[in-house]
Amino acid sequence: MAIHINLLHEKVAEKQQRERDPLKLSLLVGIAILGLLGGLHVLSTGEFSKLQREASSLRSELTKLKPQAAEAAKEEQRLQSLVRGSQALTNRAERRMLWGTALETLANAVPREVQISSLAGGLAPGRDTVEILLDGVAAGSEPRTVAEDFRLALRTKFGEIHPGTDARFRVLEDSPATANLDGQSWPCARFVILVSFPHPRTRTN
Amino acid sequence: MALQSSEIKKIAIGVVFVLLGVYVYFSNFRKPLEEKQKRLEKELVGLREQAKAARDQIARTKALTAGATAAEEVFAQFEQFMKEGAPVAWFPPQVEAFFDRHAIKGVETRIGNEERLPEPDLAHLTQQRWSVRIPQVGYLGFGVALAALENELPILEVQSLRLALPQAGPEFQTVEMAVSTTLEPRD
Repeated sequence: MAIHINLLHEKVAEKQQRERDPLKLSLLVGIAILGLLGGLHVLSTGEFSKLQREASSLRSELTKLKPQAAEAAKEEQRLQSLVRGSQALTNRAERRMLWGTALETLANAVPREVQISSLAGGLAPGRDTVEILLDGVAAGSEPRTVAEDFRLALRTKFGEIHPGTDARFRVLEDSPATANLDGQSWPCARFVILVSFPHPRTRTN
Repeated sequence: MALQSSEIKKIAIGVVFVLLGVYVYFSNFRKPLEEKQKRLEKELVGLREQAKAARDQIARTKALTAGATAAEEVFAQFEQFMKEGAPVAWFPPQVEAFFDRHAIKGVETRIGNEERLPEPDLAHLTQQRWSVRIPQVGYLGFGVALAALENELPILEVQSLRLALPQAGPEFQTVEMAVSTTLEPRD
């Protein structure tokens, strides 16, 4: 076995002493921790930069979008008004009081024993009700019954087209006149009937 | 291996340096960065909301533009009944010609007052009132003609109607009508 003599044991001991110097070690640990913190800081700064880039991109996008959106808002108002206006115009046309139809309904309701001498129709002062005032005579053995049947027929026929129709006598009186019907002379009754119903424009459906 | 007191001191100094470094990092770098990040995130929420609202507004308007075409067509349909010039120049002849086609003669149409439509979205349109008088007409013939007129002219509405039997000829009535037309002023 060869004899190994360490002639530099003092230098080795000194080197070992330097290597396990607690200050140096603690500084190394400190540097490592600070390095970690630095890494963390770099990551955080990267994330922050990412957010800044996003904010910058959004700001530049908004400078373009805002005027467009303001223009779009104005246009939206105009278009909404246009759509509402077209609906209102369509409602005006579709929910008119159609007097041609009303005259046809009246013609279908008038029996041969009844003669209308005048008709006056229009919007009531409240403007949500249509009123038709009919002045005429009814002839028959019981002219008042004929007039009553006519009133009921008016209510039914107009009610089929205009829900909520009402028909009331304003006047019903015996008339001195007589009417010739089928070669016979019949007593007459004069009547005034008011037919009223809601204006079609007021309907909700 | 036991630490000597000088070594313990060195370690303590090292620990103090590390703690100092950590403190400096958190107080001078980390905390301000976090505060800036919080402010930026808050601002970003607002910016995202603004961008979304702007995009939504543009998309909503685009969607409405498609639907508005139908509305424009409705106005165009109505406008074809509104002729150029003062209504008094063209409406009475139009009504008279219409009744003439239905063999109803002697129609007189007079202009009445004009007012704005009550609907706010139709404020650019007016309601022109007219009085129409027919001296002599059969009930059924008039009913048919009136139905056709109402059907042909959606801008027209009869406001009131008066039919009376003249004593001289009970087979004919005299008719007085108040009508209104929805018009666009085009002077």
